[in-house]
Amino acid sequence: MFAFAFESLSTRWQILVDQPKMPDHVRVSIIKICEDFEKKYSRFLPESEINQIGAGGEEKVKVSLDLAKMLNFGLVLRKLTHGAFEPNIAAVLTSYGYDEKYSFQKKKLPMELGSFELSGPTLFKKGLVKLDLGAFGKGYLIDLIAVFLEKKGIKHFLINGGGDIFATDKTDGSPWRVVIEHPLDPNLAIGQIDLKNRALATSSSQKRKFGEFRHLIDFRTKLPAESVLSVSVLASTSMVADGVASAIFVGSASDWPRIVKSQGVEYLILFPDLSFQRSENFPQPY
Amino acid sequence: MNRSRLTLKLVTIVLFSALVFGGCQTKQLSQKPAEEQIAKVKEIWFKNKAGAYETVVKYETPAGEEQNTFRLAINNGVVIKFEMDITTKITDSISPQQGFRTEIGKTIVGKKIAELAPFDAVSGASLTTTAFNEALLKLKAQLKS
Repeated sequence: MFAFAFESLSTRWQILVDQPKMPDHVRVSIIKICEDFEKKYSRFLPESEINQIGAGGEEKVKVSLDLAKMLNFGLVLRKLTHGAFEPNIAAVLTSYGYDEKYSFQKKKLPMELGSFELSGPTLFKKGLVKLDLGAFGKGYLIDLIAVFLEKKGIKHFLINGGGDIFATDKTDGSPWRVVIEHPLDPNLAIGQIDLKNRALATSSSQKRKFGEFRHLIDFRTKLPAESVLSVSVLASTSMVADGVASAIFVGSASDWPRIVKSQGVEYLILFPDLSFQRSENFPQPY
Repeated sequence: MNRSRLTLKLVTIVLFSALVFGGCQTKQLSQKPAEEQIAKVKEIWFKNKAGAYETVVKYETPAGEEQNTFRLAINNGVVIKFEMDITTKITDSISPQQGFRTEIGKTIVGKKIAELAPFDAVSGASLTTTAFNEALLKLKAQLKS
């Protein structure tokens, strides 16, 4: 077993490969993929692609293929949640002080937030559009790294991007064993999953919080979502697992069945009283 | 919610549910006024030899006295195991009591991660927040000074 870890996108990454070692150039390339991703898609970097979209007025903007793929998925989740999930949420997060300096100083929310739609790689925006890809960007990056590893002939691996995970299998065909952290106590697990050619993502509001701020916001109310404690999702890709976990978190319970069915995922939802709801094929929690 | 409050809440849920359940159970068997349905409920939690917290809830029904024993294993303020004994001989009571036990048993209690080893990775949010947590620590330090 070979493992290496690094920091990127403000979190800790770990790559496990079920072979004795990994070539140095592959390791260097993975770190470079992460750095390039952050430069292009971080809302905290003024020169990033998403910050090149103008602040006001109507505009047509050609976006990169990767950004178009991510935003298209974001728009699917927007529709499935009736607007609770929204990629154009950076201004709301900033108003809570979740800004590039992590000031946590509340600011006035702009009166009118704009909107956007996509047609292929062309983004049509109207009014103030400030994108944040935090709800599914890391998942997409994990998928990019998985594709890269497979291109390099590395078949048996697990990618752990700050707790969001994609894994193939081990050399003997067995799955990777993953435990799900308890949102209220990092020393406890709420469940265990055998992961093989699947992605697992967990969203929780318990970690990134300050005062009344929680980073998972219902865009319709502009308030932190608090009806659930954590959501874990199993999916075929990390972007879907990551995004759907966030969408269930901020969305209404009445929308959950449609989200889950349309995206073909398995889920475990933990509520504040520690009761839970799970799909039929999500392993029984502890 | 801190862990002691959580534990208290869970214990309260168990007791409250037991009381409500006792009332509902009796209602199915009788049309007597509600105040006559639960004749006595005494519960004192004590620590048994295994270290679990245990209590016996007793209540009257028209068919006779009913009782259930509840046990909670608590570790570091977190409920890690829940048990409810069903000893009733009243046929009509068995199914509702089993239903209640199933429902309350659906609460997630968790297991110590250290005892689940070996595993390959942990899914969760504790690693997602390096920069956020560092900023938060700095802010808290500023607020203190």
